[in-house]
Amino acid sequence: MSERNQATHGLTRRAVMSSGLAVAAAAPFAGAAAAASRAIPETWDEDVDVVVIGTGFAGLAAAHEAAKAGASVALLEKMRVPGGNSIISGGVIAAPGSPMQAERGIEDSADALYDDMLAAGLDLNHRALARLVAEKALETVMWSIEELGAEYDGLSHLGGHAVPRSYALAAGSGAGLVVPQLARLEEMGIEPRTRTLLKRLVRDGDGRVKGVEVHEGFSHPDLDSGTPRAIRAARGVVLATGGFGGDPAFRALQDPRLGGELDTTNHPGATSEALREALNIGCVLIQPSWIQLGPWTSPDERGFGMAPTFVQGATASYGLWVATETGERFVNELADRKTRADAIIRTGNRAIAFVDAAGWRKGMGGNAGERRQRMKETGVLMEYDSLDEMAAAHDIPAERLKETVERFNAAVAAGEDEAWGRYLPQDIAPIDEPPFYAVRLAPKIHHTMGGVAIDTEAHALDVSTGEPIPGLFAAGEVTGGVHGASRLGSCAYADCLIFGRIAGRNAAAMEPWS
Amino acid sequence: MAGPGRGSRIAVVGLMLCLGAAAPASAGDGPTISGGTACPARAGQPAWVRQSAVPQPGRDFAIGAWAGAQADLLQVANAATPEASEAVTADCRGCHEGDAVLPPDHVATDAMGMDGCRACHDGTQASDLSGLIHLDHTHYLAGVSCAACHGEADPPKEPDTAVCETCHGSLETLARLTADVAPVNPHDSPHGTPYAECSLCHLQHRRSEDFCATCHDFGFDPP
Ligand SMILES: Cc1cc2nc3c(=O)[nH]c(=O)nc-3n(C[C@H](O)[C@H](O)[C@H](O)COP(=O)(O)OP(=O)(O)OC[C@H]3O[C@@H](n4cnc5c(N)ncnc54)[C@H](O)[C@@H]3O)c2cc1C
Repeated sequence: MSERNQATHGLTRRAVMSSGLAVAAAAPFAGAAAAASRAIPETWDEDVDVVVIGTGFAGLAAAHEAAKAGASVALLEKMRVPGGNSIISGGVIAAPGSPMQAERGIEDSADALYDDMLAAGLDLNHRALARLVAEKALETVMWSIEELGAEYDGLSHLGGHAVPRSYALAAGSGAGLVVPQLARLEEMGIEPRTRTLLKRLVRDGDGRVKGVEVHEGFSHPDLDSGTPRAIRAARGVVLATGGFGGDPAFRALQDPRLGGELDTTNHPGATSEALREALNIGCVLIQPSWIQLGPWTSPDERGFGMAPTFVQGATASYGLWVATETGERFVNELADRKTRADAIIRTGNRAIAFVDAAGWRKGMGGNAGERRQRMKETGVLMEYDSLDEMAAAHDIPAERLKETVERFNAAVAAGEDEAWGRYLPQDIAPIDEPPFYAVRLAPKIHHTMGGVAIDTEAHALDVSTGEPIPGLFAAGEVTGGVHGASRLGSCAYADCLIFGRIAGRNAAAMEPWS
Repeated sequence: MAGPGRGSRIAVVGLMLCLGAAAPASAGDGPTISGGTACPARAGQPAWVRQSAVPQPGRDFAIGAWAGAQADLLQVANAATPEASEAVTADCRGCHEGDAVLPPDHVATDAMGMDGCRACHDGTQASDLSGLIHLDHTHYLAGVSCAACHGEADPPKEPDTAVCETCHGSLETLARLTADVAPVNPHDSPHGTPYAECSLCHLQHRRSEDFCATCHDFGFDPP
């Protein structure tokens, strides 16, 4: 605890404020606060300028900007490790109009990204938010290089994007950003306080969020574990607690088909209690039933696993996806996630994604041999010497499979995929070099597009007034609106970093309350 | 002297964390860790804590990559253990009065240090003790005191990974030792340094757990 914090330890609060009735009467214009205000703690155990909850991209970016602006910051994380979904994520971030695209002669722009986001999002995107993400994506990637020292070593083409435009972190996962984010914070004297659960947001009768109640020494998933503690936030609170993809009960409330045993790519802390607490104090929940399934996961391993890199990186650009029952393609392998996941489900999850040896080499890049070995050992990747062998192993009509491959090879020769309109990269070649590599497909819960409503300044909005809740900011997957019905790959990084930075800056700039 | 009295031993064992043991580079062909300097964690400890027996050299640990790696890891830690004189001993029944912690026909352990246990429990002849005794016991019996890991802080706090590294070698060294473990190297997570904290898996005062298993089916059973 800093000296400053010690000095204010034990601040007391006027008793009158702890009476809900008195509060309501005293603050007629406080939005939902009148109904939702909480007893202000009798004493605060600690006092900081800004409390940031969550240590993914959004929370770390918020803490970074708040600290840079001179604010004292308490950075809270309920799990034993920082990083949430961010640190286990796939490592690609959208950068339209980038230097790497220019090197390859690919033309692109923020407008083109925005159009793709809205197309995938079925136009349900909150346009001002989506536009901000599209416009700031490139500068945010550059900021991550210049200010964080992040390293990128590839340009990926993800589904639903018109062109290859996603920068791939050299680290191969989101750790390539989270680790340098944590390092910058450490330099500024901020360390994440792990095993610290946000229990309650303290919103006063005057409408302002003034602090948080937490449980220290929390042991996931026991929400009653740990020791209560109250932290006063003189300037603001940033809610950056991520999505609820790992919360089957809350998922099922939003989309009854998606509860229960369905596997998820998310970390185990991707649960809804912080979001529900935000609703308790008057936030608005928007678009929560748009829950994204990742179309590139395998039933032969748990979670995100190793399949997606192969399915997206190799098979979607250089190989094919076929339904095992028919031996035929059933979707544009580079379509947006929803289109593809829905199509796989329509096959009854009886579909495989495969490439030939040449496709493997092009799509998997460095370390490919080691990765192949691991994937084979875990049983997620299968290798076949011929298409006949692959057909037999998956009960695919062999002749039809071979016809499908021949038709696609003719399309490659013609330079156009007439059947499905798939983008063909410059280095694509016919699928004919054994061995063939295949993964079975089964979509898993991946991203929750819905969440609390915010404006372009990352203010959390009040459910009664639609106005900003003073003192409360939200950023990242806990918010809704940017992505509409379906998030495009590599757009979450941009969303989280952009709004995290805005939230941190704006929280630090609030007038302290007294 | 054979160690503290029983009452204090129970307290001691209950507070321990992390293996201390550095010093000379490893014997034979085993991997080398930063040799030469004494384990700082041991400085200022009484003789019975600072010193315990050296391992028997030249054991054959060739039963698969995992066992091999575990044996290498043990060798690193053991080889780094200072010269023997008075060892902490495994008077198991002395503390676990009435509990059947040893099979009835087990050889007498009263005079053994951890090296004595390992003479049989080396993963080739009998169980390697993983999961059977908590790591605080392993550390204690190798002569590592509570303060060696926890320092003097009261109440004791969880030590940083750096404390473990002073005796066990760097994370890079550990990753090299387990490079061939299937299906993936447990010491080389692609998720970065926050996922490389020793204490995520290697718990001291209760049974260790496979942290990877929150998301993956690697089937690790960490010691
Ligand atoms: C496997 C995987 C791969 C992905 N790959 C990509 C990709 O390549 N590109 C891309 O753009 N997007 C990708 N995404 C999506 C993207 O990674 C996430 O949307 C993003 O990381 C979310 O960041 P965040 O900061 O909002 O939340 P998170 O990173 O999830 O962080 C939120 C943190 O808040 C903590 N928290 C939650 N509740 C509480 C509470 N009550 N008290 C205290 N702490 C709490 C959580 O434990 C967590 O650590 C991927 C997602 C997954 C799961």
